[in-house]
Amino acid sequence: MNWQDVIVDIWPQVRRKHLWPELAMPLVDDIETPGAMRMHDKQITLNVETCNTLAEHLPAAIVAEALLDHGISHYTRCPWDFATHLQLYSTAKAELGRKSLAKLATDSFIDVVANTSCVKDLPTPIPDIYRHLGGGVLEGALTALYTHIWGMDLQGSGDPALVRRLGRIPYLDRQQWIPSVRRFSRLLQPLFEEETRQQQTPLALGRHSLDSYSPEEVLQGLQAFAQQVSDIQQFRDTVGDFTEDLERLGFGAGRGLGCSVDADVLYYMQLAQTYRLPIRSLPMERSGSLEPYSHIPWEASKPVQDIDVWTSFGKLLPGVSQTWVRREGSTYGQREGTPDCLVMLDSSGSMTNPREHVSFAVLGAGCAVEAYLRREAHVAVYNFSDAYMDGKTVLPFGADRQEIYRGLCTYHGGGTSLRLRDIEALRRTAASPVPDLLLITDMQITNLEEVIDYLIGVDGRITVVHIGENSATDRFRQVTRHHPRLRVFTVQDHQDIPQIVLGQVQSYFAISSHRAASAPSSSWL
Amino acid sequence: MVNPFQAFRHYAGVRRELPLDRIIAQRDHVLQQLLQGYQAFVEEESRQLVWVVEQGALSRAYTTAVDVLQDIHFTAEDIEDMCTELDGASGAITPLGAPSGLFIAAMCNHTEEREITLNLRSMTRRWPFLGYRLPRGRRLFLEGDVGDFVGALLEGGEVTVTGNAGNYAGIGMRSGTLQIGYSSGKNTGEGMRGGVLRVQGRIAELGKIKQGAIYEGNQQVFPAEP
Repeated sequence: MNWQDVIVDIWPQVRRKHLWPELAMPLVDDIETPGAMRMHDKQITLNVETCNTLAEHLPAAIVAEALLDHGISHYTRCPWDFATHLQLYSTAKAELGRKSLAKLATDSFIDVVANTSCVKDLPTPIPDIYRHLGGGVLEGALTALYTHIWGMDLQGSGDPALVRRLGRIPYLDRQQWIPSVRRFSRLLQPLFEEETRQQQTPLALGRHSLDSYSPEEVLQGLQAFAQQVSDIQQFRDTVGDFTEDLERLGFGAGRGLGCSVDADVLYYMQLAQTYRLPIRSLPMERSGSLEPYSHIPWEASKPVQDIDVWTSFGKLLPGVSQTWVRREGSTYGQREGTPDCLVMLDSSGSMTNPREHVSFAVLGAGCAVEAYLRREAHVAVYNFSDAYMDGKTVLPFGADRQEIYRGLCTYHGGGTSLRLRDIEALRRTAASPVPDLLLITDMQITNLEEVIDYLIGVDGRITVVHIGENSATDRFRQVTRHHPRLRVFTVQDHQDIPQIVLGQVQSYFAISSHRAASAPSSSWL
Repeated sequence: MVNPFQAFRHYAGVRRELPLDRIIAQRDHVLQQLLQGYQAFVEEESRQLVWVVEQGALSRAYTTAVDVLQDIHFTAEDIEDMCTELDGASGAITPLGAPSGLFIAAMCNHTEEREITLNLRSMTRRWPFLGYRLPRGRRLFLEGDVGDFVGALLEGGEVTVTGNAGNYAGIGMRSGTLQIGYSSGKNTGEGMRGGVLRVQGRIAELGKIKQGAIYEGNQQVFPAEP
C-alpha cells in the first residue's frame, strides 16, 4: 500500500474541508515514538504502522482522512498555540501534582476537544477509527466518553458514572477550557495513575510535545504565558518541565553541550518584551574633517603645507617655524544613534530575590536592556551587592541576551556598596565614546555619597531607577535635582515601568551650574 | 453592508447537533434554576439579623431549602456542580457557611439517586451540615475534608467521609452510620441518640452522648468497653 499516494489524493479535499490551513503536504514514514502521527513545525507525518493496522478494518482513504482531520484540528482548534498549551498544562499540573500525569491529562484533554470540534463542525470519519484503535484503560474510558457525547456506538469501556460526569464538561467552550481541564484531570486522575503505573502504550493518536510548534511560536507562547502567570514560581514549575524540549529548540545558553534552560531567566526575558521603553537618541556622528588644533615646532622632515606663516613670523627655519597639528572636529552631525549602556543593578539583601518573587528591579533592567539591544547598542552589566567583598557580577559590553539576563538574575543578597573603580574601568571599555549609565537600586548604599559625587562628575546620560521610597532616595533626589543629564524614576509596581524614559536629559550639552541652578526642576517622578 | 464571505458559505460543513450540546444546555438550565433557588433561600435567611446554629433555625432553614428545591429536577452531578459554583463564590452568589451547607444537604436528601458521591478535595471551603437528616436508604460518599456538624440529626442514612471532619460530628444523630476516614474535632457525637459513628483516626473530644456507639479505630469508646 503506497500511503503517500493515498495522502496526495485525499489532501486537497481535507484541506478544503478545514478551509485551507497553512500546512505542508503530510508525509508517511516509520515513526519511532509510539503514536499514529508526529507533528513537527507544521509538518504532519503519519505512522505507517498505525495506518496499516487501521487499514485492516477500514478503507485506506478513510484512515488517511481521519488521521489528517485529527492532526489538522490541533492546529486549527485545540490547543491552537503554545501559550494555550502551557496554560492547560499548568492547570493540570496544579491539580495532579506530577509532571507525567499532567502531560497525560493535557494530551487527553486536547485530543477530546480537537476530536469533538471536528465531529461537530465537519463531516469526518474520526469516529470510525476510534472503534478500532484499541489502547488501555484510559483510551477505553475516552472512547466511552465519545460514545456518550457524540451519540455513536464506539464500543468503549468505562465506568458509566465517570463517563456521565465527563460528559458534562463544556469541551467546545474555549472560555472555559481552564476550569474544564481542571475538572477533567480530577475525574480521570485514577486512570492516569494506573496508565502511568502500568507504563501502557500512550494515547493511540500520539502525545503532544513542543515539537509541534515552531521556535517562533514557542517564543510567543512563552511571552504570553509569562504575562498570564501570577508569579515566577508558577512559570518555573510549568516551563521547567519542558526544559529538554526548549533546549532542543535552542532556548538554552546557545554554546556548547550541557547548557540548560534557566526558567527564571526565560521568565524575565519574556516579560521584558511587554514593555517598550523609549530611548532618547544622541547625535553620535562626528564631522569627519580634520581641523587645526595646536602648534608644534616645525622639523625639516615634516611637510611644509601645514606651516602657520603668522606664528612663524614669515621664517622657514627648523625649530623656529610653527606647524599645525590637526585633529578630527568635535562638531556633531545630524545622524542620531544610541550609545552603549552600562547597567548597574543592586542585588543586595534589601532587594527582592528575582528567583523567588517578581523583581521589578530586574524587570526594569531587562526592559532597558531590550531597548538598547533593539537599537543594536551593546550592554554591560554590573550586578553588585557588597562589591568590596567581591559580591558582584561583571559582564563586559556585549549583545548576548542570554548572558546579560543571566547576569541580571544573579542575586548576591549581601551588603550594599558600589566599587566606583570597577564602574569606571568598565565604562572605558565601551565602544561608544560616552556610554549611558543606568543605575537601579533602593539607594540603601553604604557609600552613597561617593556614588552621588561620581555620578555628578561623570560624562554621559544617567538614568537612575529607585525601588521604593526612603530617606536615601530623598537625599539623592535633593542633591541631583539640577543635574542636566541625570533623571530619576521611581518604580514600586510593574505599572511604573513604562514611565521610564531612558537617556532623558535637559540638554545634550553641558551647561554651567549657573544656568543649571536657574533651570526648573523636571525630574520625572 | 454585504458580507464579503457570503460566496464561501457553502464551503463550511454542516454543523452537527451532538448529545454534548444537549447535555451542556440541560446542565446550564438546571444550574441556573438551582442558583435562583439558592438566591431565594439566601434572601429568606438574610431576614434573620443573626443566624445562630440552634435547632429552630436549622429546621426552618432546611424547610425553606426543601421548598425552594421542590420544582427543580436535578441529579447528583448537578449537586457537585452547585458545590463548585458556591465554592467559586463569584459576585453573583453569596456562600453563607452554615445555611449553604444546609442547602447542599437538602439537595442530597431530595435527589432521585440513592447513592451520591461529592468530590470535595479541590474545594477551598469545608461545608458544614453535610449529611444533615440523611434518611434511611440513602448513601452519601464525601471525598475530602468536611466542616462542622457532618451527619447532624442523621435519620438512618449512611455517610462516609474519606478525610477529616470538624467539630460536632454526628450531633443528635438518631440512626444510621457515619464513618470518618481520618480525625474528628471536638464534641464528637454530641447529643447522639442512636446509630454508629466510626472514626478511623483520632477523636479530639467526645461530646455528651445519650445512646449509640462510637468507635475510634477498632476500639469502642462509647459505651466504653469494660
